[in-house]
Amino acid sequence: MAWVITGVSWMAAAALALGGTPTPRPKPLIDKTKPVRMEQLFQLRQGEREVAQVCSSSRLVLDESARERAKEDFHRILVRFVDGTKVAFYSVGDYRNPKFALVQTLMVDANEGTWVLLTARQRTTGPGYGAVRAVDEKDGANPLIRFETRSLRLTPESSDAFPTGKGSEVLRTAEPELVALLQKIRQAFPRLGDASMARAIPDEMARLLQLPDIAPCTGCKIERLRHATANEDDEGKPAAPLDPEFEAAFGKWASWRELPRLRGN
Amino acid sequence: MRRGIGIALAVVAVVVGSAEAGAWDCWGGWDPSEPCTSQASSCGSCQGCCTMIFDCRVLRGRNYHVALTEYSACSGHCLTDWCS
Repeated sequence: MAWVITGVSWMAAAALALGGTPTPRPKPLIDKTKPVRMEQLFQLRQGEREVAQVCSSSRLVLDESARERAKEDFHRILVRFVDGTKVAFYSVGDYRNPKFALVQTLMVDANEGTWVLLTARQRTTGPGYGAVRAVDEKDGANPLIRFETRSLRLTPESSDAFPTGKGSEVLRTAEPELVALLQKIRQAFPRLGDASMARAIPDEMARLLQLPDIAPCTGCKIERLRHATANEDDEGKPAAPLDPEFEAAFGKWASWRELPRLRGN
Repeated sequence: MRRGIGIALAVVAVVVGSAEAGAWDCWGGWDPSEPCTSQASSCGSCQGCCTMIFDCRVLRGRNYHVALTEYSACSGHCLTDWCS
């Protein structure tokens, strides 16, 4: 009897070692009509040299018609350069108001704890993301209504410079390092391709601030290292982060579902 | 008179057709009104479709937040439907 068991064990071990027909990995079950946490980790290279790693994260509804009714969405891009520079970007849309949508974009220098927060207001025709997207197709006006840094707050009501398009000059004078960092990020990534996604928030901020265009990196390549997509649980608890260590390096500047606390902490 | 109107309409049709054809170039052959997953045959082509539509939208100066949301949704479909 013992030799039979031994023989069967050997056969099983051999089958495992040789690797039989691979069984297809089951795809994760995603309810596309409900919010997901979608994350991708990229490596940015210039030639063979690694320049940075980027973790892009979004909380949104994948299904088209369900997304039309979404009242909010959330995007975060964490960039960690090999030289130690860490920058966090956020873009958060609020589509609850039937007359206008609010989009907040934030850049944080996670090494220095300095930041710039922009608020844009866009006309819309009803609540929900779908209405904003439809209006957006035609509306090219600069919708910036407020910008704020650790030491500065500027709104149309608070400054004559605002409506005349001099907001960027004010920012460049008050926070030259932040402007330089924003431009550095725009220069570090290619304009097109998957990497352009990492430029999306910096480019939007530059457009709102009327900063000059800047040549993107042309010899850079981006490679997707890992990704994860998962629904929140029934109580709305978010799925686990794709790379907790990467996120932890940003400390309090890596928040989820809402902007990090900028003051009073 | 009728012939003149016919020729005018034909010219308009050609001009509109050319404009449409030009517009499609921006999308790199992908139909932006169709989901990328229905036009793709692999993880890579699906992601390429999303990227092309994103780039096209950004190049045309559309709202970046909307572009980012559209890209992320498209990419999310690819990741869940095509990319293991």
